[in-house]
Amino acid sequence: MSGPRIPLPTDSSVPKYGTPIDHAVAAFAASVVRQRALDPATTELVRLRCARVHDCRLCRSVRNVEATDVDEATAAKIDRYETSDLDERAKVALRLTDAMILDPSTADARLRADARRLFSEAEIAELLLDVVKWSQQKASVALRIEPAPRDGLSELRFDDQGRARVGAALA
Amino acid sequence: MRMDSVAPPGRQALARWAPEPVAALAEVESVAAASVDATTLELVRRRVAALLGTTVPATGDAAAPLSPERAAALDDWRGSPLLDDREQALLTFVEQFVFSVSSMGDEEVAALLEHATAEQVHELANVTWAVDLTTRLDLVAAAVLA
Repeated sequence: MSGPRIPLPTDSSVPKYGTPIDHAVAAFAASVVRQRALDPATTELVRLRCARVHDCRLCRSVRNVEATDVDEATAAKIDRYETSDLDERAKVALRLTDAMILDPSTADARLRADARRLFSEAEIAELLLDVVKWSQQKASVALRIEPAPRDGLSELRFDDQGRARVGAALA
Repeated sequence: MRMDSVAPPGRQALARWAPEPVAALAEVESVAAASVDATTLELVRRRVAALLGTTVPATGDAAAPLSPERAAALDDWRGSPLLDDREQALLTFVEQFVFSVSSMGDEEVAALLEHATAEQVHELANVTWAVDLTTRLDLVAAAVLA
C-alpha cells in the first residue's frame, strides 16, 4: 500500500490544501451533488464504479446513506456488472460510466439509444457530471493522499449545500 | 481552458439540463488554466487529447506556447531532444494519469518533485484531472446527449 507522495493536508477548515483550484473544485462538486434528477441508488453505483476502477481508498470505504437500495451484495456485483443480475438500467448507467472513465469511444449509437430509452436527458446529464465529480479522486489517487478514514466502512452524507461529510463507522 | 469561444456540442447539451454545474465546471477550467504556465497547460491538453483520440482546437496564434516543431515531437516524445527533463516527467505523469491512475508509481511523482514543489505537483494533478475529465465529458456528452 503506497503512502502519501506529498504531505497530507493539515487544515480541515478548507478543501484539501485550500488553493484556488481546490475551492473551485469543491464548488463544482457541491453543485453536482445538489442536482436531483438521478435516483440515489444509480448515483451510488456510479460512484462505486469510479472508486473501484480508480482504486480510491477513501471512496471505496464509504457508503452514501441515501442509497438504501445499494447493499453490500449489490455493491459486490459492480466489478462484473455485465454478467451480473443487476437490472438493465443499472447496467446502462455503468456502461455510461465506463465510457467516461475507461474509453469514450464506446459511447456509440447503441449506448446513446439505450441511455435515452432508460434515462431522461436530465438524468444522463447528471450522471455524466457525477462521473466528472467522483473522478476528482484521480488527482488524490495519483498522489496517494486519499487514505480511508478507518478500517471498514463509514457513512457518507451530504449537507444541504452539497458538501460531503464522512460520518460514523458502519456495522 | 478551451481555446475556442464556443462550447462544444456536448457541453452545450449538458448546460441545457444542468446549467449550474456546467458553469461551475467552466470556473474550474478557468482557475486550473491560471494555476500553471501556458506551456505546461498546452502540453497537458495536447497529450490528453491524443491519448483519448481527439484533438485540441488550433489557436492560429503566432505566440502559441508550443512551436510547431515541439508540438510535432509530442507524437514520439520519449527521449525527444525538443522536450526537457521537466516536460518528459510531466508527459510520463499525464499518460499514467489518463490510462491507469491506480497504477501510478512513486517514481512518476518523484520525477515531478525534482522540478516542482509539493503544492505545484498538487496543482498539476488537479489541472490534469480537469483536462482529462472535461475532454472525456465533451466526447461522451456529444455522443449520447447532443
